[in-house]
Order: sequence, then C-alpha cells, then structure tokens
Amino acid sequence: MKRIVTIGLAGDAGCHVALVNLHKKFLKLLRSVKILHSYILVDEKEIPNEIDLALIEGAVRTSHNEAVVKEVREKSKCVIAFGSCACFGGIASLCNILDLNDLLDYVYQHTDSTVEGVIPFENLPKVQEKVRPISDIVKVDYMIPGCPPIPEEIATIVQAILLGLKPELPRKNVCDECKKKRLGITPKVIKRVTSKPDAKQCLLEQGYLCLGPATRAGCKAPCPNYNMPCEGCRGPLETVPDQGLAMLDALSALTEKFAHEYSPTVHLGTFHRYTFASSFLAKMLRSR
Amino acid sequence: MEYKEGKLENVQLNIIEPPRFFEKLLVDKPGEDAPRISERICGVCPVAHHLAAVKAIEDAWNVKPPEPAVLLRKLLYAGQFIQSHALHLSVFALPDYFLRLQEKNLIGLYKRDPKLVKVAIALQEYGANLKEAIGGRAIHPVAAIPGGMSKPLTVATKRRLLKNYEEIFKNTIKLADIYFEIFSKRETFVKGFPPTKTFYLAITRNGNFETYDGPVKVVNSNGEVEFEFQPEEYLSYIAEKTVKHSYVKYPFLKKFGYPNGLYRVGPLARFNVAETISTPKAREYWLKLQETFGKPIHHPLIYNLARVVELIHAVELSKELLLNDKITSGRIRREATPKEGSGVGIVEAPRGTLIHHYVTDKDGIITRANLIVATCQNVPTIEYGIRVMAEELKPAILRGKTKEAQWKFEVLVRAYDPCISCATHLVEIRVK
Repeated sequence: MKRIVTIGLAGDAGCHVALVNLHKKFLKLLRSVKILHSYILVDEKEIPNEIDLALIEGAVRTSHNEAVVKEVREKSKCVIAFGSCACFGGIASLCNILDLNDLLDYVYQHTDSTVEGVIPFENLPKVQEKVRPISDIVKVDYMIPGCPPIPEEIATIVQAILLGLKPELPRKNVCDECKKKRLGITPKVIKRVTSKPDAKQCLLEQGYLCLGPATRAGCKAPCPNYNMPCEGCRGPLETVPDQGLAMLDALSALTEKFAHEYSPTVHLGTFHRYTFASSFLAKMLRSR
Repeated sequence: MEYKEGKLENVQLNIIEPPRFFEKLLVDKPGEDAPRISERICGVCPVAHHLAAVKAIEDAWNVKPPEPAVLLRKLLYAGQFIQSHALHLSVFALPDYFLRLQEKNLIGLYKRDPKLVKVAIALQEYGANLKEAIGGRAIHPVAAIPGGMSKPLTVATKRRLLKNYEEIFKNTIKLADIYFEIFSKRETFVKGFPPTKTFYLAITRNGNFETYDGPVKVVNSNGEVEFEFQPEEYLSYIAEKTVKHSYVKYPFLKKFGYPNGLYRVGPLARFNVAETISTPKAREYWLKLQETFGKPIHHPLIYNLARVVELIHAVELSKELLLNDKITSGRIRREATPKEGSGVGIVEAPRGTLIHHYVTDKDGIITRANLIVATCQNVPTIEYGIRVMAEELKPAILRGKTKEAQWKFEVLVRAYDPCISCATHLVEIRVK
C-alpha cells in the first residue's frame, strides 16, 4: 500500500476540506492507501520516512513552514503543491507588497480592538519577510492549483500518480468552460460588481474584471455561472508567465481608458489575488 | 508545559499558525471584494466570513438585501453549519470517545464502525451540496454581494436538495443519539475535564438561538444577563490583548478587564446564552441536555453535545427554508452604491461569534479592517483549562505517564473545535 502524508502550512485547510468533499470516493481512497500523517485526518505527530506521495497545502510564511517543507521533500518520492497557496503563494502573498514590520505593527498593535501588548516572539517560529510558494524552497513534482482545488481533479491526479502515470492539467482557460454568451464586443467602461450584470452575456464584455481568459480551466466556471467574475484562483496556464500582467495587457489593448483607471494598490488584489508571490510584478518590485 | 523539581513551572499555549495579516491585506481593496477575500481565512467555515463581511459592508453603505436574499443566505449558512459540525463531530471528535480504539482518529473509527463514518460523510455531503447550490461553490462560495445574492435558486435545484431529506434527518438523529448515549455512559470521563467558569457571549434574538443576525448578549457564570449590545457597539465591550507567546490575540470583556473578563463563544456559549431553539427536534435535545447537565453548563466537553443540538437544528432549518415559497424568488438583489462609511457585521460562526468591521472611503475602498474571529476568543480559556489540568495530572506526568496525559490535553482542546486542533506537536511536556 502506498504511503501518503498531507501537510498544512500557511493556508486555511480548505484544500483538505476539498479532499473530504470527495465524499464516498474519499472513503474509497482511505481504503486504498495508507495515510501516515495528516493535517486533519491522523493525529500522528512525526513525519514518517519513506513517503510515496506528499500533498502540501499552504504557502511558506514561517521558519517552521520552511523546515517542514524541507523535511517532507527529503523523505518523499513525490511532492505535490496542493492548492494555490502552495503553487503560487496564494492570497496571503498580497501582503508581500508591504513591509513585514508594518504588517506586524498594524495587526498586533493598531487594530481598533487591540488595547495592549507586544508583537509575539517567544517560543514561536519566526515570521519570514515574504510569503513564498513551496517551489521557492524545494523541487515540486506536480501542482494541483485552485482555491481550493476541485475534488474530482485531486482524485484523478493522485490516482494517476499512484499508478505511475504522468497526469496533466487542463490546457484551456476558464472562458472555454463558461456558458455565458460572447458577442465579440469591447467593454466601454469598467464596472464594479456592486452593479447587476446581464446574466446571459460575457461578464468581461460587459466591463466586469473577469479573469477567465488568463486562468486555467478545469473548474467549469462556477463563479461566472453565479454572475460573479472569475478571480483567477486556479492560476495561469504554463504558457502565461504572469496571470495578472497578461490580463492587464489584454484589457489595456481593449480599452485605452482602463490603463488610466488602474491603481496598483486597489487592483493588486484583482489581478494577482492568488499569484502575487510568484508573479513577474513581485520580482520587478523586489529588484527595484 | 514545564515541570521543574516537582512543580508546574510554566504553561503556554503557543499558537504557531502563521499569521496571514488579513486585517492589513483587506486595506485598499474594494469593499465588495471583502466577502470573497476574507472567507479565505478559513476553509472549514468560509460562509461565516463571507456573510459577516457582506453584512459589514452593507452596514457601511447603508443597503439592505431583500427578504428572499436573506432567506438564501440563511440556507447557505445552514449548509455551512451542517458540513462543519458533521465534519467535527465525526472526523475530529468522535474517535476520542471510543476509548478502546487503537487508532484514535478517523481511520481507526472507520475500521471499527464503517457505517457510522458513512453516515457522517453523507451528512457533510448534504451540507456541501447546499453550499454549492446556493453559494456557487462548496468551499469559498461567491454569491453573497452587498445588496443581496448574485443568483436565484431554481425550483428544480430546490427539489433535488429536498430529495433525500428524510434519510439525512434520520442519520442526524442517529449521530445525535450516539453522542448522547456515550456522554450519559461516560459521565465521569466527561466531568473529569475542569469546568472553567467564564462569561458566555453569543448573538440571540428575543431569547432564541440565532446565527445570522441579532444583538449580542453576555451572561455570567451563574447564567444571569450582564449586558446586551448592538453589533456597532462592540468596541465598547470587547478588547484584545496581544501576548508574547502566541500569534492569536486574547480577547476579553472590557468591563471586567483581563483575565477576569474571560469569556467563551461557540455552541456551549450559545446554549448558555439563548433560552430556546426554534425547531422541534432540536428543542427536544436542547431540553434533554438541560435536564442532564443543568444550565449554565461549564464542562468543556459538553461543547460537543451542544454542537449535536445545533446540527439537528441546522438540518431542520434547511428543510424549513427550502419549503418557504420565497426561497425561489427572483427578487434577490438591490443595487449597492460604494461610499464612505463604517460598518460592523456579526454572525455566529460554527465555532462562535465572528466580528467583521470595515471603514471605507468615498469610493467604497476599505481603509481600515478589524476582525475578531471565533476561535481566538476561546483560546485564553483553553490555555487556562490546560493550566488547571496540568496541575491535576501532575502526579501522573511525574510518574512518566506523559502519553495518556498528552492525549487528554488534546481531547480538551478538540472539544472547542478550534481551527488549530490539528496542529502538529500540539502538546509538549517537559519534565526537568
């Protein structure tokens, strides 16, 4: 029986809940593998040796996260970046644009309800300067992107790897799976989702900032289907090096006006919500 | 915890979960994005954040969702309670009560009683299906938007959701009976965990158990009402202290200071604060709980029984809402206008009272965010409980029985269902 571990770093356990959301198939999986150590399923404290497959959820934010990733890599034949935090840094990496001291200072000393105290330091792993995807620390064999990933996709990929196959992710974008009608028109104004869209027509053509064109398919476009723009949680296709910049580039070509409306602070979370840590933009800002 | 020369030297609950700084991360983001961003705080109960955030922004922008939208949100939330509670009661907590179980975890339980695990998984699937149907996604839904909901529920989907209801309900009662039976048989074990006397805080409406909306009530350890306040007044009643040894902040009641003002939230607190619960079967078990253990109840393990009562309520409520004619109404959205304002949204998350507070500028962009999440509010009391138990278990630990002690500490922590129950190296006992 294959030996599996699942790990949780800086994330929200949503990827693990997605695993449980395989429901009956999850129980089938439990029968066919040996889960030796797991973030929520097994209370075994130590990470065992000779792991066949490791699913790592979450990004690297602390010295403890980094040590765990290295230990798991050393002990595992195959490491999977499980979910968009592990793959690209995830939503918490939007903080990478700010200085760590400002973050600690605001959250632990200056929120409206914080009245006294210190920035935590004793018997705690150190918070590192930036949030990083696990591929910044170790070699990653496969990615299962998504915030969270699609349960069916997790099952297919894991089973394929266990059979010694080489699974591949979809090579289409979210628009290819979206049922909304495209008329080939160009958005005239950029709209915020506080206004109600036409439920039948493409959200982007109506002027809503939908990241479908720059985002990997496989989710069946549930967000546009619920009249909400795609926020790009599955990250870009391999052919697109920077999801947010690609989207921005396309938009600027469509509407000249938008280039003037773009605000780096307000729109960072729109175009790079899940991928900032691994984006070109972050690298550019770092080297400046 | 550290024992030195026969004495308990030090107890620290080190929450090492990496801080993700959501309060700062939300600043500069458009207010309407708060429901989708903030729900990434927790993958187990995203709907709680989704709804607290949307209510806070609606409060700031002065827009009220139409009634059918509120019904849809309550249904979405019932799905969240069902999924989260079923997951906790089966995967996390139940293995603790089968004391002869070799592997005290889901896999051990599954080997011993596969039927029971199947029942629990089916329940959590029903919860996930509700979330997906109303919110668009089973985890991190998208449908709640300032002013209402983004998509109506169709009659066909409603019928599909109701299809297996009778079996779901039967299974819920089965799980409930298993819990009530275990707890009646293991009274000594249950009461062996120190009953910590604290204040209890929860939202409630006219004495009724409530999760989506209402004023906040605080009762003392005798069950007497100390005060009641509206969401926007929370800063006058609750404050947070930061400590050197933990990444979570320690909330307390301002009036009593720290540590006298320690309070608890979550299922036990909601039971102690509310007088009754609205649905029939849940009320039956609510009274059963009250008859067996009295009221208020301070025993931490009873969190699980209160959770069972809430699970029954959420299942019954889901049917009640699905049968409401207005649930498939198309009138679910009012246009919201982003503007300057300050708004507070409070809900009862599965793990307890959750507070979101946003300030927005004239364009509706967030300039300040403050979040008091459910789990944090129980952490100071959990630490206190560990300290009391560390004294009680001292003779055993000094005789070298650390493994059993370690498990007992974990059972105590797990009763609260914190988002941290699964952290590795949860308990470290040092004897010098």
